[in-house]
Amino acid sequence: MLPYLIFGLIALAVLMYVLMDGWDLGVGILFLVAPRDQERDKMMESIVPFWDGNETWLVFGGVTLFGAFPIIYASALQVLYVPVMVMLFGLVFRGIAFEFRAHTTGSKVLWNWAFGLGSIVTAFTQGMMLGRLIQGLPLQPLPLGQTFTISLFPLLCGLAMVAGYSVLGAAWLVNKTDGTTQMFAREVSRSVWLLTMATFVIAAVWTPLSVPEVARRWFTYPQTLLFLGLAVALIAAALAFWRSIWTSRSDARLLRLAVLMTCLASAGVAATIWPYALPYRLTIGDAAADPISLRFVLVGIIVVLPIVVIYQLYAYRVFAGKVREGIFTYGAPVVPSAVQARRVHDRSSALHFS
Amino acid sequence: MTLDTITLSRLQFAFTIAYHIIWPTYSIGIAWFITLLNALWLLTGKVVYRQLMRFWLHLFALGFVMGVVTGVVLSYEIGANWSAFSRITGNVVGPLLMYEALTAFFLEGGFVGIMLFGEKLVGRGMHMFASVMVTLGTMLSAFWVLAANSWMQTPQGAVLGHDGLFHVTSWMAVIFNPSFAYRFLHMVNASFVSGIFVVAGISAVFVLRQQHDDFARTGVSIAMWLALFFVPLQLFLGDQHGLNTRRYQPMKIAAIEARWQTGRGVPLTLFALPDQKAATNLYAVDVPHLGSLILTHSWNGEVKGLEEVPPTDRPYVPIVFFAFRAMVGVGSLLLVFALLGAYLRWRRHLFTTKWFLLALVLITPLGFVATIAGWLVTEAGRQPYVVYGVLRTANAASHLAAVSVGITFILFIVVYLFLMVGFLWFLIQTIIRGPGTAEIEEPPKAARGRMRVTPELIKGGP
Repeated sequence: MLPYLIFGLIALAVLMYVLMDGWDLGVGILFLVAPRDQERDKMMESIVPFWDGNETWLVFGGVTLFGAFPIIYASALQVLYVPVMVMLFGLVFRGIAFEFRAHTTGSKVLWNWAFGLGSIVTAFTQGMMLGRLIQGLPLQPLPLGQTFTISLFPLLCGLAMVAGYSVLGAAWLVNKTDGTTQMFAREVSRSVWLLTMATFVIAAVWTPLSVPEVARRWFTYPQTLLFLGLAVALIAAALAFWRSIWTSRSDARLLRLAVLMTCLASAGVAATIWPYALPYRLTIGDAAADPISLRFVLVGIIVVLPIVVIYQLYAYRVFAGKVREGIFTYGAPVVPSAVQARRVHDRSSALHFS
Repeated sequence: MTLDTITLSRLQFAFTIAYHIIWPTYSIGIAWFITLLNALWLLTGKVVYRQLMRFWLHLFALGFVMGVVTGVVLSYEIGANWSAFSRITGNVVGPLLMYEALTAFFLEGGFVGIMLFGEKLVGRGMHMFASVMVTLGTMLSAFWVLAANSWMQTPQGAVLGHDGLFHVTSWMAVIFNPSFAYRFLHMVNASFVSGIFVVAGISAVFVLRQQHDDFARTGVSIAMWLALFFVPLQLFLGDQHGLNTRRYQPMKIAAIEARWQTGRGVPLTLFALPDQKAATNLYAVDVPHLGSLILTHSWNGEVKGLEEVPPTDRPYVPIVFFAFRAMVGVGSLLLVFALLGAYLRWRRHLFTTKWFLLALVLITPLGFVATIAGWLVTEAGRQPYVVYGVLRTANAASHLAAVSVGITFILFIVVYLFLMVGFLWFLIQTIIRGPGTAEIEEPPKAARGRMRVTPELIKGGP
C-alpha cells in the first residue's frame, strides 16, 4: 500500500513538473522563432519569477525516487547516462540564460540561443528518456557499442515532447501576454499543435507495434475501454484547442485546454506503464525502499507538500495577470515608450527590480 | 593513475561538487546579509540600507542562479555516476535529499521571485518575509545535505543488511550523527565569512573610487563589524570540528598532519612533502609537542598515525595535508584583516587607508578558496571510503563506459568555466554600473498599464 501511495505522489510530482516546466520550457522552445527581442523580453518576463519553482519539481521527483525507490533511481539513471547528462547541460544553459540575458546590455543573441537551444535539448532528451522507458529499460547499462546507438522510437518521442511542451508554452503566452507577443503565440500555436498531433498519432500507432507489452495492455478487454476513453477525450480536447486559438473570449481558455491535454496524455502513459516502476522488469512493490524509509518520506510529503503548493500558488498570484512591460527588467523603471530611453537607463546607474 | 571509469567519475564529481559549493556558500552569506539590510531598513527607515539591499539583490540573483543550475546537475549525477552507492545507501541518503528538495528548494524557488521582483507588488512586510524564507531555505538546504554528508562520514542509526544494503534503525540517530552539528556550524559560518568578505571587497571598490559614499562606507563598516565576530568564531568552530574528527576519523587527522607513526607529544609539521609510498615526510619543518597540544589540547596527548591501517586503507596524504594548510592559512589571514579593520576603525582610518581597502578588494574570493580547501580535506581525508569504514568509493560507481564519463567530464569543465567567465563579467558590469540612487521612486504610472503603442511597435509590427 505504502509504496503505491508514494509512487502515486511521485507520478503527481512528475505531472506537476511536466505542466509547469512544460510551459516554461515551451516558452523557451518558441524563443528563437519569436519575431523580435521585444517579444522575447516579454516571453522571458512572463516566466522569470516562476521558473526556479517549476524546475524544483524535477529535482523533487528525482530525489523522491532516490528516497523511496532507490533501485530505480540507481539503475535508470545509470542506463540513461548519456541523455540524462545532455538534459542537464540543456538545463544549465537555459537556467543561466534567465539571469545573464537580463544583465546583458549589449547583444542578446548569445543568451537567446542558450535559452532556446537549452530548452529544446532539455525537452527533446526528456522525450527520448520517456521513449526508452516505454520500450523497457535494462537493469545494467548496455555495452559501449550500444550506448550511443539511437533507435528511431525515442527520437520520435523526443520530437513529440518538444511539440507538446511548445503547445503548453504557446497557451501560456496567450494567457500571460498581450499585443504582438500574444499575436505571435496564437500564430505559432497552430503549427506546434499540428506537429504535436502528427507525432502523437505516429507514436500511438508505433508503440503497440514495437512493444508487445504495450499491445497486450492496450488491447485487452476491459482495459481497452480506458485507453479508448482517454484517446477520445484527448482528441476532443485537442480539437477544442484548435478551434479556440483565435476565437476564445478568455485568454486563459487555451492554457486550460493545454493543461487538460497534458493531463490526459500523462494519464495514458501512466496507465500504460502500470504497475511497473521500471517498465516490464520491476513492479512498484519490488522496487520500494524499506518501510521505515517510506514512512519517513511520506510524513514529510504529507506535512510539507500542501504548504509548498500554497506558497507556489501565492507566488503565481503575486505575479498574476499580463506581463507589464519593464516590471521585471533590470535597469531603471522603464520610462514610457522608446527603446532608446530604455537603453540609456540600462547603462545608467539606477538599478531596480520592480 | 589510470583514467578508468571510477577515476573519471571521481574527478567529475569532485569538480562539479566543488564548483557547486561556491554558490551555496555565496547564497547563504549574501542572503543573510540581505535579510539583515532588509531588517535594518524596516527598523531605521534609512534609505542607504534599502540602496544596499537592492544592489546586493542583483548580485545575489547572479550567484543564486549559478547555484540552481549546478545543483540540479548534482541531484541527477549521484544516480547516474554513483549507481551502486545510490542503491546501497538509498534507504538512508535518499530520504534526506528528498527532504532537502521538499523543505528547502521549494521554499527558495517559491519566494525568490518575490524577493527579487516583488517588493512593490507585495509591500515591505511581505518582502521581508520572502527574504527570510529564502534565507531559511538556504539554511535548510545546508541542514539536510550536511546531514547526509555527515552520515557518510560518521555513519550511525543504520545497519548493513545481508542484502548488502543499508537499513535505517533510527532516523534521529542518522540525522544527528556525531559529526553533523560540527560540520553544519562550520560550513554555515564559512558561508557567513565568505559572504562578509565579498561584501567588504565590493564595497571597498566604491570607497576607493569615491563613489556613492554613504552606500560604500556603510557596506565596508557592516562587513568589518561582522568579520570581527564571525572570523574568530570560525576558528573556534574549526578547532572543535577537528577534535570531533580526531575521535571519529583518526586517519583523516593523521593525513591532515602527515603523521605516519602513532605517538605521544607529537610535533606539529608546518611544512613537508609527504611521500605516500615511503610513508614518510620529506623536508619536514616540525614544531615539537605543538601537534599534541592542538589536537588533544594536552602536552603529551596521543595522536594516531597512518601506520594503524594498511596502506590500501589510507587517504592520499598530500592533498589532505596541503588543502588543510590552505584552509587554515586563509582563515588566519582573514582573522588578521578582521582585527586590522577593527584597529583602523578605532583609529578612524577605516575609510581612508588605501592599502587596506585595496587589500580587501584583492581578498574578496579567499573565503571560497578556504571553503573548497576545507571540503577537499574532509572528502579526500575520508578516502578510500565513501561511507566511512563501510563502503569503499571504488565499489560505489556506476558501470559506465570510461569514454562516456570522459566526454561529460570535459564538457563540464568547458561549460562551467564558461559560466564562471559569464558570472564574473556580469558581476563586474553590475559593480561598474553601481547602486541606484538612494531615493525611493515609483515607476511612472504609464509603465504599469497594459500594452502601449510605442514607436518600435509600429515600425516593426508583424
